[in-house]
Amino acid sequence: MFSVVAEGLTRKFNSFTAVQNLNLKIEEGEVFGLLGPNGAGKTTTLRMLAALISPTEGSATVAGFDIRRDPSKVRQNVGILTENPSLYERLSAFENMDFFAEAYGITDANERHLRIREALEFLSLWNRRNDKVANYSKGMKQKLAIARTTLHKPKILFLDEPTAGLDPESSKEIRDLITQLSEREKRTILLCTHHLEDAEKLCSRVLIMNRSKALVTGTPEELQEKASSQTIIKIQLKEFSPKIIDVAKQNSQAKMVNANTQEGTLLINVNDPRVATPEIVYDLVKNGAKILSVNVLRPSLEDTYLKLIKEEIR
Amino acid sequence: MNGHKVWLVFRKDWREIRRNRQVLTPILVIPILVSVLLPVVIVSIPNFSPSTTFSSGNLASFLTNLPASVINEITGMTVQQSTIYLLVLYFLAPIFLIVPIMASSVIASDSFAGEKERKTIEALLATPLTDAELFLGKILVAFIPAIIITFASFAIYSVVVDFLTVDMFNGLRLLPNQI
Repeated sequence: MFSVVAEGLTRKFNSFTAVQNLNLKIEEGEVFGLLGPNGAGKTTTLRMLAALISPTEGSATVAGFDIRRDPSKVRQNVGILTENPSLYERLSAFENMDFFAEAYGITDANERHLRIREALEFLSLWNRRNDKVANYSKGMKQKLAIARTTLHKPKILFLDEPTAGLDPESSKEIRDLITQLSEREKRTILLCTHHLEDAEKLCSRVLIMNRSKALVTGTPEELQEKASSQTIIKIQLKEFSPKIIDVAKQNSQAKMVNANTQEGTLLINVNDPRVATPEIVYDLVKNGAKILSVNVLRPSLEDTYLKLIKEEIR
Repeated sequence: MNGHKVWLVFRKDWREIRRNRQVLTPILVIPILVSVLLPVVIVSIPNFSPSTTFSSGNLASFLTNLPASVINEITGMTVQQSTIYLLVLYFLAPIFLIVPIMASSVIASDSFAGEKERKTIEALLATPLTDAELFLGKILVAFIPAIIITFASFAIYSVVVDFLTVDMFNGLRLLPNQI
């Protein structure tokens, strides 16, 4: 069952095309990342899917509702964190939450109080519920804004750059929060980000887009493999001998061997580390090598991302 | 459209406006100026120089051009009494028509454009509240306080005018008057 399906989604602002022919399928319970540089069309995509703006062409269903025909049903069933926290600074945290909870249709005051308390306690903001949001730090505002997206218990969350502009500690808190929302409460999460760290840690699948077009979709691992067909195994040896280097070079799995005699490391290029690593290690040990550690060096998602974006520009 | 939702938008906006000094100051200060300061100044002018300001010569052409019903009202009054009477009832009172216009436009601009300026409008539009509910709630938040302020400031004006003129008119209260 898919939570979000987009087909040929296109949005033009006068002559400028912000999003062009975007296809997207997000499964229920998935954390899906939209990656791309500034101006790639991530936010526009999100705004279309949240029924804030209508697409110029194409269609999408979110939580089973068509974004063109049933925009209010779509809004009722998603929680969205916009680029700005969008909180009323003159109102207290509790007043903000209370307003939005009622706007999302929770008419019973006790029920609202219960849910707000649950959400704020979870984020350790309950003690400061009566403070005006103007006095909150950026990280606290962001947490509060995420809490707001969950008040009406939507199945789908759209988060637009949840960690933008936050310090590493707050970023980690927000990431943990997203993990919990996904794992504990089984929500589908669509995340826009240009923090590759976030995408790598959080997302089960990512879509990289640039200049209004989708470039590639896949799991972070798949994309990493796409970036370079060869992986490097790094072997740390206790002692170096010319014989060991020869053994490594003669192994059929090794495509290329680089020996760093000072550090005592061997860098071996292989096609498939799952096959090559045990064979090479076995071969080396059999020939008397003393191995301290073996690491598989994969290209990071960042390498993939940069490579794809650069290829696109060329 | 849901009445509760309209009321919800109204309550939220009113709470925000109540705490916004930039909005409160103009909508409170100007009615106070109009309802207290203006009648005090107008009524005290004749006490300083009754002969020059309100001589019948200055006012003669003006008085003859008044509608007959108004001339009826001021027959039998002294020149000073009739001048005060005309100023207080026919010239200052219509200024209160400006108060609701001013108050509501200050509130409405903060309530509509303020959402956009403070970038809170995205989250508001993402809620299931319909455009009609938002619009009506915001219209009401501009209308209701403006009307209350107008009536309240005119009540204050009436009290101030009566207080200042009650001796001059031998115990007669000018406001509220019959239309």
